[in-house]
Amino acid sequence: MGEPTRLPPEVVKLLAGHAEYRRRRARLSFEEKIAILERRRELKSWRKNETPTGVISSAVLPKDVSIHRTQKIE
Amino acid sequence: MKETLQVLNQMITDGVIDGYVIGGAIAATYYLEPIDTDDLDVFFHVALSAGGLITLSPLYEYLHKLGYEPQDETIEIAGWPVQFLPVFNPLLEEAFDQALTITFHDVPTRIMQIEHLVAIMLQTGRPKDYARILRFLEAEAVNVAALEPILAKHSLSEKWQKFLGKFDIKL
Repeated sequence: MGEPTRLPPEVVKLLAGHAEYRRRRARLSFEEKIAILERRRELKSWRKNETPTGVISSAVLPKDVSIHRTQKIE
Repeated sequence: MKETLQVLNQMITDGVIDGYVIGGAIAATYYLEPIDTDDLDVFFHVALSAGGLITLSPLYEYLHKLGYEPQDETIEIAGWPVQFLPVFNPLLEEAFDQALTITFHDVPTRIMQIEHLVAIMLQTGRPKDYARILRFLEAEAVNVAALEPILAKHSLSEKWQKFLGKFDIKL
C-alpha cells in the first residue's frame, strides 16, 4: 500500500457541491420528492414512446445541405 | 401517487388486505433525495387459500374490477406500477408492525422506518441494496444505535461487519 491517492482540488470541490445538492434535495418534503420522481417518469415514458417525426436519411439530401440527424424537418 | 395510495387504503377498508407498508426506493426517498425507481413496493400479509396455499387472486380480482391490470410483476394503479410483496420473514414482520404513519397530500399511509429499511437491504444483499445503504450512511441518516439491535435480533450483525469492512466504513 502506497500513499493514498489525493483528488485534485477541483474534483474535491465538485464532489462537495454534489453532496450538498443531494442534502438539499433530501430536505424537500415527501410530496416534492415524489413530484420529482413523477416528472422523471413522465420524461422517461415520453422518450420511450415518442417517435421522431420528419426524420430523413442524409443520403437523400443535396450535398450542400447539412442537417443534424435529430433536427426536425419542417 | 395520491390516487394510488387512496386505492390502497380503500383495499384495507374493503377487506382485501389487512394493511400495507411502503418499502423499497420510495421509502428510501422519504429519508433521502429522490431515488429513481420503476415501481412502488408495498408489503402486505398474503391471504391463504382454504388449502393453506398463498393466493393473490382476491387482490387481482378486486383491482381488475377497478380497471387496474397486471403488468409484469406489478399492477399499475393510477399511474404507478405497484409491486405487492408478501411479508415472509420475521424482519419484514417487525418492519411492518413498527412502520411510521405519514401523510401524502393529506392521504394517510405507512412507511418503513429507516433502520428496518437498511436491515432489509442488507438481508436482501443485491448490489443496488448495498448502494442504497451507502447513500443512507453518507447522508448520516441512520441511527446506528437503533440499527444494531435490529441487526443482532435478525442474525445480520456479521453480515453488517463484513459490509462495513468491504467498504472501509468506520461508524
